[in-house]
Amino acid sequence: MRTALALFEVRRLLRSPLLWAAAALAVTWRATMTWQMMPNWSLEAVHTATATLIVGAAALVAANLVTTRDRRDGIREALAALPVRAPARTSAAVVATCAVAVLGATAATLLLLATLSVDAVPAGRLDVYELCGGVAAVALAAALGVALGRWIPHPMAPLVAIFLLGMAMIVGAGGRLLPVVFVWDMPVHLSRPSGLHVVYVCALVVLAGAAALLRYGPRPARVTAAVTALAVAAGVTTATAGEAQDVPAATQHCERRGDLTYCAFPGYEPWIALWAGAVEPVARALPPAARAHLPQIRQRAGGDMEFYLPQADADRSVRPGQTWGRNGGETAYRRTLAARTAAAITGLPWGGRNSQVDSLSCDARDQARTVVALWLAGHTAAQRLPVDVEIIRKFGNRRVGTMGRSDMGWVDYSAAELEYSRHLLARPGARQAVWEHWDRLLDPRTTVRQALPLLGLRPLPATYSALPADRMREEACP
Amino acid sequence: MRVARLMLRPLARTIDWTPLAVSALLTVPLALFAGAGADPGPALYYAVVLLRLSAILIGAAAGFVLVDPLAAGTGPVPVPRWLRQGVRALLGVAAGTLIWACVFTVVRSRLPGVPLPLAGLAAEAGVCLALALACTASTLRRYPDRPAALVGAVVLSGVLAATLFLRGDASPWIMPGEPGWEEVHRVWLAVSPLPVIWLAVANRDLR
Repeated sequence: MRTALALFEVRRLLRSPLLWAAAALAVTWRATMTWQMMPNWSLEAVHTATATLIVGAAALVAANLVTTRDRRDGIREALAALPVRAPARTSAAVVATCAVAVLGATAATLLLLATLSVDAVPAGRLDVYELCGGVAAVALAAALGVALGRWIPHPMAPLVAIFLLGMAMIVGAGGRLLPVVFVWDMPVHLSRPSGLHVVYVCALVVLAGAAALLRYGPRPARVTAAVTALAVAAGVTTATAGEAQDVPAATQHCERRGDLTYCAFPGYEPWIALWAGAVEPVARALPPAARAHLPQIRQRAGGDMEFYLPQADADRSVRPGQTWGRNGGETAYRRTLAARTAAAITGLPWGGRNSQVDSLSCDARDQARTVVALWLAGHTAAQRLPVDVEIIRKFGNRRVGTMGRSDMGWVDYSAAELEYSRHLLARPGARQAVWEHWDRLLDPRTTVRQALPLLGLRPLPATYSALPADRMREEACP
Repeated sequence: MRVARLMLRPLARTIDWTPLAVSALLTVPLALFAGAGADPGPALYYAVVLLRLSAILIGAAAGFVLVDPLAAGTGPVPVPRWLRQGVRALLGVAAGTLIWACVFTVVRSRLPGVPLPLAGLAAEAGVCLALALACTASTLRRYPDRPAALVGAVVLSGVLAATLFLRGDASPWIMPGEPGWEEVHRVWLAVSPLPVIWLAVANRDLR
């Protein structure tokens, strides 16, 4: 009888658009966010589990609707004639809602993994327990929906539960007690007791199911299930209380490829080939003598390289971060890595400047080495003008002006340098000309006008050298 | 107008105020935690997230105001349905606005140095409230039962989740002080009549 009831509820839930719409939303949302990002399995497992909580919210509401059905108008009388009572309906609801929730969450998880695998050279290690934790959390939401429906049979109850869990996750309250422990930052190596956390969440599922049934009296089986689940959950929480979640960065793995040395964190070794694809065209464009002292490509902890504002590095190494692109998203990463490498080779300043002038950027206009740097980087990907970074006084909402930030860092240049580098790339014999006058071209005192005859280029109109009118005051790059 | 005034008290007695009371009991105490950290950046983030989630919870709770437990028996009464439901909606809007204003006042008092743009955040809250009421009103036309009020919450949550992955100027949830705040909130204001019109249409007579 209970099996038949559970199957009936399963069939009804499978036809409900709520769960499937939530699963579609979770997949669309996460797939859109990650489509152009190279997956790092260690973090993606956590983010995927977090995304499935959208399915969990829907499961909580759906389970609550299933449970509170017998309190709606006219249903109570109809149910009174049936051979089974509320406890049987409750256990059937727990089993059915958990089963369908697990199905929906698993489908969403597998679809997300499939979208993450498209055109991917993944880093890190996929922790299956993290994914299982997400699916278990969705089952917990379903069981909680049933328990709330039995103890607080008001449609507002699931909304309150979702609000409280959402707030707890957003502000980071609850820590390891939450069903899914979100990772806000980007640790180099994520190591946490994910297997035990799955046990903890499964214990909570049993506890919620038992709590739903305890509404109809403390029968031995229900009490035993609740006490056991509580003991397991408490035991796991105690056992994992002292375990560190983020292990400090391990020693980097370094690899020599051609003239360059690449160093990556453990798990990121497959990305060395991606970095090499961006940097090697720059290295090949250098005169042979200049290839002896190339900067190291050494990975740093942290996110997007484009938005990273480096401080001056003593060893002038080029520092790609823990992100890379795919499905077209790699173009910006390749362009930036090539530009940073070219900037390091040509001696352009590295980090933001903290001098007396207003802007962090330095002015690299009318320096021959800027043209050379853009020419070198242009062998990998077409370079672009610096972007205007708006400076807004945060708590007055007042716009102060703009700073120029290029792919080379806080190095500002104009359309003239970019245009000369494009002409140079298109000109046959440019490589020989650059190699021949290499030392002079890299001298910061050599102006573009002095370099033009050496490179066989014709001058452009002066209007090309103008910067935006609202650019803040910048010093010349040293 | 006179009839509407006469109906206020009897309708207020029939409304299930529990959801709105619960939302007030949850959101106002949470507002007391605003500014718990010393850094104004995270404090602003917490405050704005709380105000936005409060707006969604209050909107979802306000939907219950439209549920008429005697809907099946009030068809033949002389006062038209649009007026009865309109008065219910007004009561819900008034109570919801009051609760959200309380949350905002508490948050602002906890963060005296952090400018919270009232107009923009209120426009967001107003649209959330009206949208939840409109969804519930539409559902009540076919399913005149209490769970119909959940539809408003589900739609609001869906809209929130669907718009979270919009980036830059396309995102309706930018933070105060970010470029584009004014433009985005002009859009919020521009779309605000739509759920109100939808609510009015959904409240019309059934026959």
